[in-house]
Amino acid sequence: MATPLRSSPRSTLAALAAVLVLFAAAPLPSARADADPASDVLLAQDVFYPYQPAVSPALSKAMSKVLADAKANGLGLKVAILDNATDLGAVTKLFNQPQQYADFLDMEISFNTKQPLLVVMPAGFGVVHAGPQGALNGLLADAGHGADGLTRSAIGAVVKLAAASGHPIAAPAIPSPGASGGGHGGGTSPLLTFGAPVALVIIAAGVAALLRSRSPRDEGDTEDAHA
Amino acid sequence: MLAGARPVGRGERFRPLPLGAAAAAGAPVGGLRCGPPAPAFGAHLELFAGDRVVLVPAGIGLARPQVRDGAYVRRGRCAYPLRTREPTGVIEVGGARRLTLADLFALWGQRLSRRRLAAFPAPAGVIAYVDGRRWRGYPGAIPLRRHAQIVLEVGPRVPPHASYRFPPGL
Repeated sequence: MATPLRSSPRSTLAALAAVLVLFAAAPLPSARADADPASDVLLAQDVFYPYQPAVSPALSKAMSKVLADAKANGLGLKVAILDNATDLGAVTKLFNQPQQYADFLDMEISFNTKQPLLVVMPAGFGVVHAGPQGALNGLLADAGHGADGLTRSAIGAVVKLAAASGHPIAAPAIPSPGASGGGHGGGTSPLLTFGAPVALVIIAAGVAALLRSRSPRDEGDTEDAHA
Repeated sequence: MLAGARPVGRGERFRPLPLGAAAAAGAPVGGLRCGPPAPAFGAHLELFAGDRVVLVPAGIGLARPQVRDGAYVRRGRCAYPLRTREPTGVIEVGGARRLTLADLFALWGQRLSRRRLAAFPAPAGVIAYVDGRRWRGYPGAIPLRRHAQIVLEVGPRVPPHASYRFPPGL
């Protein structure tokens, strides 16, 4: 009759350590591509925008114009704007590593050509095949206004890259952070943006005053009126 | 990570059209009907053949005429419970019935079997992964569960992603 194996705690620990060493030594398989949305979207259009918040129409129009101008002047650029890790699908490790992601994205979309590519993330810019190295040195991405801020930064970067590549283009007129609604798309009326909270405070104050003016006997049918 | 990047393959086989004839017309497909879009969750599908990406197009499950916006299909004349609005492999899965990969490929008008993936024959078999784990059954039987990360491969092994970060709302 077989007897159950018994092992000492020391040998169990040794076995466990050996297993851990084996795992540590084994090379981690690197998952391969097509799980970052931009690599698919940029095959059919020139800009990948963040999922949320939506970029305001005025800014996306300005982005289209500046890219069209750059293309007409010899710089056919594609741009990936990524506001958070969700925009990277399964490649979230590369969020806020704009140059690394640009190099990665280049390998996915360039095929046998050299596709000029600009990546914009809150941490900054990544550039491939577009202008001399360091063309965007000193330029900071606007990380404080969501997708609109990054798009604004992208537009500025395109203008700078075009100039650095010897294909200067005019900077388009773009709405300032306040005017474009701060990244929520469509533009919100200042009356609504500032008037609504004020109105709510006034209404709340009025309700509070009304409640204070009522005597306790008036609150006859309350929820707590249990016998 | 750079060594893992792979482009979309060249040629029409790697960029199949989004609709079979029945789905394009909004006709019933395998019991699936085209109507107003139902609330949906997301699943993600990646396809590889010969070490290259096969695109999952936008527009699957959205009957013609479709309203396109660049790479995206915003809507169709009507919508099936399975649809794609973007070319990223994100599938919107709606309706009450439990749906599988076979349902998606039926709407798409592409073949899927143990020995075939769309336009690609697979003499050695179609390899399937779900959430990073090997699926050994018929690939069409893979259920489209919420946030499932599904990879189908023909040819050289591509280490699969185990998860995917879905867009808000899915």
